Amino acid sequence: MKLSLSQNRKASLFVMAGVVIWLMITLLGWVAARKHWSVAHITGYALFAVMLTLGFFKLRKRLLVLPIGTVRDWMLLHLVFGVLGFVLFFQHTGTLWPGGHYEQWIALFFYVVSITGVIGYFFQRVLPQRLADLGEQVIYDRIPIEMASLRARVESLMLEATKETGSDTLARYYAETLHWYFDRPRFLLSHLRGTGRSEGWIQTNLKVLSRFLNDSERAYLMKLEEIAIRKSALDAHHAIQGALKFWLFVHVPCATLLILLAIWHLIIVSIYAR
Amino acid sequence: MSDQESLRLDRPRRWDSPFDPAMTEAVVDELLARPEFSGIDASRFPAAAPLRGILLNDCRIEIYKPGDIILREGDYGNSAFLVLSGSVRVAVPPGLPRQALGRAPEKKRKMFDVLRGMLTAPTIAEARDTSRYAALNSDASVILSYHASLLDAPDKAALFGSGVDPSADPERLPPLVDNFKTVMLSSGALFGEIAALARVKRSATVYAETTCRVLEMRWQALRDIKNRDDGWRTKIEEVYRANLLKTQLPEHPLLRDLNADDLKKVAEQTIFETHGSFEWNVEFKASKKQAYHATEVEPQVVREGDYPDGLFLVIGGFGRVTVKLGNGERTLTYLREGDHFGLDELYDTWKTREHRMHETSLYALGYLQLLRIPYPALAELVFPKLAAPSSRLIDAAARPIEQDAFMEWAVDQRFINGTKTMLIDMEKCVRCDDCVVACAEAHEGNPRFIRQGATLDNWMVANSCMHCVDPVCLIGCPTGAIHRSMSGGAVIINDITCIGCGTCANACPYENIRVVPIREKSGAPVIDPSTQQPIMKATKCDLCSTLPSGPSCERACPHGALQRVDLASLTKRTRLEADR
Repeated sequence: MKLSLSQNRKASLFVMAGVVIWLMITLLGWVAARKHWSVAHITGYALFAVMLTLGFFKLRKRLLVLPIGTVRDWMLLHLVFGVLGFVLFFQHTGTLWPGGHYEQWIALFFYVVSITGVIGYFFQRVLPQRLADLGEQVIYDRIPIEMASLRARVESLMLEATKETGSDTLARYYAETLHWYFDRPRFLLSHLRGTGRSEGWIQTNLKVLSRFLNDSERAYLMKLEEIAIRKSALDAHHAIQGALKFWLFVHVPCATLLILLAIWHLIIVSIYAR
Repeated sequence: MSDQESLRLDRPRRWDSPFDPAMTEAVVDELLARPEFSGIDASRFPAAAPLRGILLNDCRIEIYKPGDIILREGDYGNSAFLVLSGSVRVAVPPGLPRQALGRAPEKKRKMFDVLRGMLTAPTIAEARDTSRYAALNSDASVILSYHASLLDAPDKAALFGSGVDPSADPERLPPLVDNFKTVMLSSGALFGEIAALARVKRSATVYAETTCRVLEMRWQALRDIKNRDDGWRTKIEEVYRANLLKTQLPEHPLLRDLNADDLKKVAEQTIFETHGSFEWNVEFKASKKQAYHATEVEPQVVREGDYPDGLFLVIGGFGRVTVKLGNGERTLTYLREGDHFGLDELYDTWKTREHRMHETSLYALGYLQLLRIPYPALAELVFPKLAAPSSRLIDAAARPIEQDAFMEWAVDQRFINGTKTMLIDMEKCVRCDDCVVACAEAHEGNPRFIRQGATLDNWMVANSCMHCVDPVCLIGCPTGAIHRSMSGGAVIINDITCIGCGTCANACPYENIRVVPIREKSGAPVIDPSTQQPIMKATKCDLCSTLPSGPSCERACPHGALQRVDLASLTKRTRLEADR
């Protein structure tokens, strides 16, 4: 997915600003080191400021009326500061895994927030296109309703098939096998990976069933296939939209906790620094 | 919730909120005695909307002092004006400088007011402060009563000439300098009817020359009287036609080089044509359910292969230009106000003295208002002063068919009507619903759109008001609650005067208006005691017109997937495509 020229320019500007800020902090740290001041204080305060800015993104989305740039600009800032925060963290700790227990908790939350952030970014770049390719769009909250409606349709189709054809083969197969498929969202990981296992499963089962049916039953089988394919699309929406939402349920609370832990860390360090 | 807990409120009716509560029966008597109204047969009006009722409730009398601006070029308006006494002047194109047209104050909420509103927003869906309905004084009436004046213009010398004191004579405004052309209208003259009836921008500025008394009529009043009185219908159509010719022809780029005499000659020969139905939305909604191709039902104006006899100037509505392709018709482009059709063939005919046939067909998309300038007038007056067209319409047929798929779809769905269409790039949209949340927060917890709608490829036109060029939702509103904002032209609903009849929601071809039952702030449902039915209100996107920051949905999108675009401009769409 490409950004527009103006967005590209804006992105370059934000990246440059991020690099300049990092250079300034590093320079300040270098000067501090030469004068035997605490470098960790400089990188620590800088890291805390970056974390607060990152945390303000959530608040900014609610305070749209404030004339401080669009949310899209803040998103760019969030990405650039996310990377900057990662670099500053290592400059500040000087290690992958710090020594103290409290610091280890901070590091753990930092890694969780960073990793979920990277996963979220990856999801946001890749998954929307897959959703768009599904054709018909469904609102996430409506998926259970749509799914229930499909289940009702297929069950009434099975009853009708039994009544009209005088054979219970379709209904039996539905009760034994297909009910599992229509009961709840299935093949979620496959949909997330985009491997199409769901369609394969439908085709295999319908093929197995087809050999036991006569022409009038096959007409119902075709209707069943249509509903099953629609269900597969709904499952894909459920899996992909769910993933697009789920990472935030980890990222945002952990980020909030991380900021709280960092505040306490700052207080303690400030007290003992005297 | 039990009946005891619900709030009883009489069902709102058409004239609960009269245009001017100060209108009296005596004024209505005076109006009915005037020649403009005395000939109307009052018995032709229904009991629910009698002539007296219309004059009493849908009209008001305004007094303007010399220099007061009655209406401004470029504004949207929902009313027409009848001069009762005194004289007014119409500033004909190119009109008055923008800085001279003092704008009426538009109410925008302050930033802190918005923030406070967010914190105190009710958690009840569609909660209303029902005490406002008792007052029944719309904000619009407050805004409308403000009269800007040419006397307040920052550069009066540019308007009246240096050394002239425009307020020297309190009874009459001095004439404007020669740069500005004006036409005087006196007692009995009707103006402003084009914008009111055709739902388009005001085409000229009108100001008071002397102290004058003007009857301002809501467009519903004009519509009702026109529909029930032949004299008014003829008069309105004549005035409408004459004013259109006066305002449209000099403004058209093809005719700009003509002098006044030549323009007059062209105007005399110009024919006014209307194709399709003004209330096109009814047929369109029905046709959406059918499988046939749109051009099979759209009224054909010109057939490919016919000999052209005149140049068409589009003055309203939309037209579809097609060329035959296989067994169907391919849309090459569409026409809107300001566009023209047939120039290439007519110019060739004039240049080569050989008759050329129409290379393309023209269909009315819903309805199409045209001015037809006959070939002899063009050959004598226009073409000698006109440079040869640099490109031909038919050249568009060389483009790959796929390239026009989006346009073909937008035309078929009539999305080209939208000026602020919510277009979502589904390949960028992460379905976070921040747009919906932002919309809800801007409207006391009630989102005013649904993030779902028609899709083509990765583009979705969501179910949100598009603030149409031709807002057909305005047609049937009995109270004028749904209207265009004075500046900007956003289509908004005055919640106080809305009676919840659902006419606008039924008329909207895109199903972007919802009628919802309202509740008290406490959560109690609001019930009409006579019918025990809930009180309803129409709701839709208002483009966050009261917020200083503009549409919240667009600002809230972190990925730039949602944009409010003018789909009528394909260049904009091309830019969007390039953005991806």
